[in-house]
Amino acid sequence: MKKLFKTYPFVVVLVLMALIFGLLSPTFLDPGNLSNILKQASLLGFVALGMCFVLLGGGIDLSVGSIVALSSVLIAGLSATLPPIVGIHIALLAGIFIGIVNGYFVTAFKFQPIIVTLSTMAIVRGIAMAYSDSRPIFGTLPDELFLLTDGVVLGLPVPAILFFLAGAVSIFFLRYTVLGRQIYQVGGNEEAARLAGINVARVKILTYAISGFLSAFAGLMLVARMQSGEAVRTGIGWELDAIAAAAIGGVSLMGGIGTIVGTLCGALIIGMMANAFNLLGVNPYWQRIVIGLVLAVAVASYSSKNFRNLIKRFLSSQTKVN
Amino acid sequence: MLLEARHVSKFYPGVKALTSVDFSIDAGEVVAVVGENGAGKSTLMKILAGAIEPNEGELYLDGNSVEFDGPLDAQRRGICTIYQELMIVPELSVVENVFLGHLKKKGIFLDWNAMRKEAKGILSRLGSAPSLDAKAGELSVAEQQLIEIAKSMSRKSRLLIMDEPTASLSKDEVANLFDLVRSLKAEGIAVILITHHLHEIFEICDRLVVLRDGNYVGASDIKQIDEAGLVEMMLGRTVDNYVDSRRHMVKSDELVLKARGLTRAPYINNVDLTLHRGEVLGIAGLMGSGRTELMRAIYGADKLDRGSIEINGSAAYLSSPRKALDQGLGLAPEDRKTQGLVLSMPIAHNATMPSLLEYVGPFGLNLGKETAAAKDLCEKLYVKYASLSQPAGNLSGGNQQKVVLAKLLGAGTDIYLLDEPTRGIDIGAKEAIFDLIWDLTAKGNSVIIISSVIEELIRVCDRIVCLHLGRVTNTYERGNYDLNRIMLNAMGKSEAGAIQ
Repeated sequence: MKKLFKTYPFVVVLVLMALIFGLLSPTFLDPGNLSNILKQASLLGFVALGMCFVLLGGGIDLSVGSIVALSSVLIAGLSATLPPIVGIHIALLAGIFIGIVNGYFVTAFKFQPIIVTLSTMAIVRGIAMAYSDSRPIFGTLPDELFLLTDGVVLGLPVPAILFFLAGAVSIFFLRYTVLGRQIYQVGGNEEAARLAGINVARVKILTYAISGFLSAFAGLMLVARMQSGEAVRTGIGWELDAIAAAAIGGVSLMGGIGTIVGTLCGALIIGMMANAFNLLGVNPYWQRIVIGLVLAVAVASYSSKNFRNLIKRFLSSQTKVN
Repeated sequence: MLLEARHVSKFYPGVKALTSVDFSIDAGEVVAVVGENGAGKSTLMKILAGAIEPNEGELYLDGNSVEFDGPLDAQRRGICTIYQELMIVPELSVVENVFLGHLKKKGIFLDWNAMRKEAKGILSRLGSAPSLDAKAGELSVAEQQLIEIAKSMSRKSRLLIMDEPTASLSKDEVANLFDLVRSLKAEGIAVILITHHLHEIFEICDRLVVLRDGNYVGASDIKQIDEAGLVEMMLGRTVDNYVDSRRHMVKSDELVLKARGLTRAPYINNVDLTLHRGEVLGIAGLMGSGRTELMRAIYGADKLDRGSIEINGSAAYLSSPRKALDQGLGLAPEDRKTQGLVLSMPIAHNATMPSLLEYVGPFGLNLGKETAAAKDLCEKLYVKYASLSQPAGNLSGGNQQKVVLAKLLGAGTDIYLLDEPTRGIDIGAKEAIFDLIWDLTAKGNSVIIISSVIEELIRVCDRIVCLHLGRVTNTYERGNYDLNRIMLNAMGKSEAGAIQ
């Protein structure tokens, strides 16, 4: 248990939280509700996975929410004139393209990633709003698309399956491919990576492209759920939730440190809290406050030895009282 | 005496940085503090500037015993230090920088008029007038240095400590700085110069103080000492030009590397270099000699202004480290922490960094094969570790250096560029590295090695090239080594005997 907590603290936190919510709300641990949580958390989960790649490579991507929005209006809008599968491909390619643009400006001109992606965040949102005329688009979406949300395979909702599949592919990529390893190297020490012959620009652009792709994919899932695309409110603030999910899962914003498992758990923790607070009828304001507190505690305990010792002392004093 | 230190010592856990050193300087005097790297120059300067407290010994200011309560206290008493890394705030204007930390106030408001007037006065006294409103970051290094001096003047300094002030200045700028030092001297301000350039010592200093291994060696009036005497004081040993008997010459006539006219302003200037198969070539240069820049330029890490490189007889365009690696060049960078390793990553992943492609199987990376290879590399170099999966940052300096070299070995290159591979590591690790170098050259590889410790070069190299301010000052073949002469060349004496 102690070892598990040391290597995967977020897994322990996730399970503990689920148990506590289960005690507080009788319906929380119902299979139906759990699968609901997975469904909801998977959307943010895709974006958080992409964010994880960018953070590991030493960057940050604020444009993800806007890419979700653009993807959703493209898929819905293009379905009126093109076969839906073509529209979906165009939307996913658009996401990858925006990622490449982000990566290009970050690497070719050494601009700060936060500024580059802040710009694309605004530009892409603007394009999505112009394309949709700021109105929801319903298009002519095929019924099969909605299976992406409502389908159930082996008792698991399809979005959850896709979410875990994306996680598994990401884990494999980071662990078993040269490019995956190079992401850690570039994020951990860019100069050392360059001197070891690694093409730093290629690696960085790749991380932004992955982030763009996964954000566009989240847009597809959103269309499947909402049965429409919308550009004004879709994905607002997701970049911050995605960063929060990764940070809760132990991904360092300095680059080079973090895991996919952590990010997945971070996304689930955030999704679970939202769901539980709804069930318990807690004011939504409190949700934001608690997410903020969880983030602060998580990051403090990853990065500060003093803070970890403080928690240790607190926990041991509690057990003594009991 | 303006400032005097008597028997000051400074100990760190396990290290004696300074042992019972005496030092004194009078008003209007210019004193050079000379010594090899690690001689204790910086420690002594920090004690004089109040930045660190000595464990033993006393300081006397104007004849009265004094204990500085931090560097600010020393500044208030008239002792200012200008470090190599200038303490300029690039976004602030010249005036703001001059009065940084002691802005003049009138009531609760800043008194800009008074500050501008005084800054103008000081700057014109120093013989230069950059616009008061220019951003400091947009000025040249020499002008920034001037602002630092003006800053200390505005604090009514009586003693100025300058740590290698000419490191990044052009020839004309150095001449201007010397003029400035002379006029400060005429005003009765004392100057301490930390330097290892002969021309500075003999041109503007009145006296020199020599340190070696943290000990006080002696002081001398400049007029009573010559270059040979100075180097003898610095090195302090009658040299037997010790050459390791285990070393067999395996150098062949075949050229593996031929560089012509390498230039990267202002660091390296028209450097020619050749390297034979099986040869160990040493670069004897002190800090700021351009030695690191030379290695990096050959490796393609920095862009050259001019020059050509031939590898194995054909022209090579090394525009990136990747291309250099592909041509068989490997670099062990000077600073292992910031350039050599990814400290957050496991030892194994660091060791296989440039050679990762070799462990790709049909199903992605073969982690078993990779770990085995990393283990093999680390064992070859006797890296001491608890587990290959522990972060490289947890290793000691010597072991980190060995991982950097393991990385190179794994890359399978045949020309090794080693930039200060023995700095800050223990004797055992040093021996392991020398053994490795001999082993490599016996197998037909070639090595270029940089070291500040010339004895090390004499021991392992077949040929030694002396570098000073980006120029080659002399070359020695094995058999003609002379430690004192090599040191003089590294300090700026050219082959013909003139001081650069």
